[in-house]
Amino acid sequence: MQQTPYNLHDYVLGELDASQQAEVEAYLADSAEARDEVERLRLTLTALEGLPAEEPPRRIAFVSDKIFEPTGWARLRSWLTGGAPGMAFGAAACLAVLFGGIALTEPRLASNSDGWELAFGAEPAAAPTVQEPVAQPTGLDEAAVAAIVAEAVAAERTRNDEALAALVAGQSRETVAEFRRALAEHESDAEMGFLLVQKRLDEWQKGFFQTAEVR
Amino acid sequence: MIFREVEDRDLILKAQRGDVDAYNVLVSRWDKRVFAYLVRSVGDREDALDLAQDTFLKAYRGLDKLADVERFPQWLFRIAHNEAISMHRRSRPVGGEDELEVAASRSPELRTRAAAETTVMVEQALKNLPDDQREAVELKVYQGFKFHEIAEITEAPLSTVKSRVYAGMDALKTALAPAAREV
Repeated sequence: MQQTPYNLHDYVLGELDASQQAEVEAYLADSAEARDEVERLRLTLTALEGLPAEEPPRRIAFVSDKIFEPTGWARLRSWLTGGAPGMAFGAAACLAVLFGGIALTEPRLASNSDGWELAFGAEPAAAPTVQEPVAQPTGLDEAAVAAIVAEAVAAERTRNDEALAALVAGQSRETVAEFRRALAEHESDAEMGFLLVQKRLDEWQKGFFQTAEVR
Repeated sequence: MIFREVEDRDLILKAQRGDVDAYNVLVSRWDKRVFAYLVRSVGDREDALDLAQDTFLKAYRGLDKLADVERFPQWLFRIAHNEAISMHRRSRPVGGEDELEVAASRSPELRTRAAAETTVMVEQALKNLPDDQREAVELKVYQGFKFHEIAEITEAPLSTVKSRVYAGMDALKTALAPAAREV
């Protein structure tokens, strides 16, 4: 039946570009049979498109574990792949992984009254508030792991604070030194300018009096 | 005030850096489509929801492997496709429920019995298609993918995808002829 190089399904389903569509339309102008076929396909498509959209019964949403905010899994990955910004967290996360097992940092879905959420850590025992997940790695002492992780995180935070303070102090020293250098240059320039003006004034004064004496 | 909508690619790049909020926005943009695709793939809403959750979780875990963010839709649906085919399909009881009531209660748009009947007819026609044809039609008609993108999602040759869509559309055309005339 079809005498065009293009399939009529492709035409109806929008798979052809403008020039190909034009070719098919020229063919349709001459073929009642092809027009009927296109009409049937279009009606079928319209019937299909009339089907109501399926709505998910619950929203799917994700959160990260507060313990690891604002960094988390990506920072660990970033650190492991050489990203400097995540280095401090990466060390803490590595300790967590070392002592607590990989399950502690695995993202997961958890359900609550609002739907499903993603968290990092082992699955809580029952009906957790996902914002405060309780890690329960299998085969490990939960309290011991939590203490080790908390200690590692606290140590890293202290190191971060010290590093930041050192950085700020270093930058402050550099800034003050730079300011002093600039001030000295400015003073020097100002002094030179003053001397120049003074010299010009002296010259003008000298010329003025000489002129007055001649008169 | 002029709002500039954040593009999916920006959200993906942020999510790749671990920004869960950005990922949530991304999920909210895609969950309906993925869910709808999975409902028709597995034929059960609860299963589809489970699979949708698994899909987004796997997508999150694998997001750093997505090199070309422009291909996110195909990549996401490929995960959903793999989830669907890896699941053991449940056999649904036939005639156990009044499908008209189910269809009408599911959508407030279906206020008339005629609309509900048409919906049931279309759904039944889709269900009667072989799985591969139904999936190809779903990805084409409801998700708007091009043939080559469907080939990528389903890991099937382009010619196979075309054959599936053509055969599916022809079967639907025959099955829906009475309903199509009323549309």
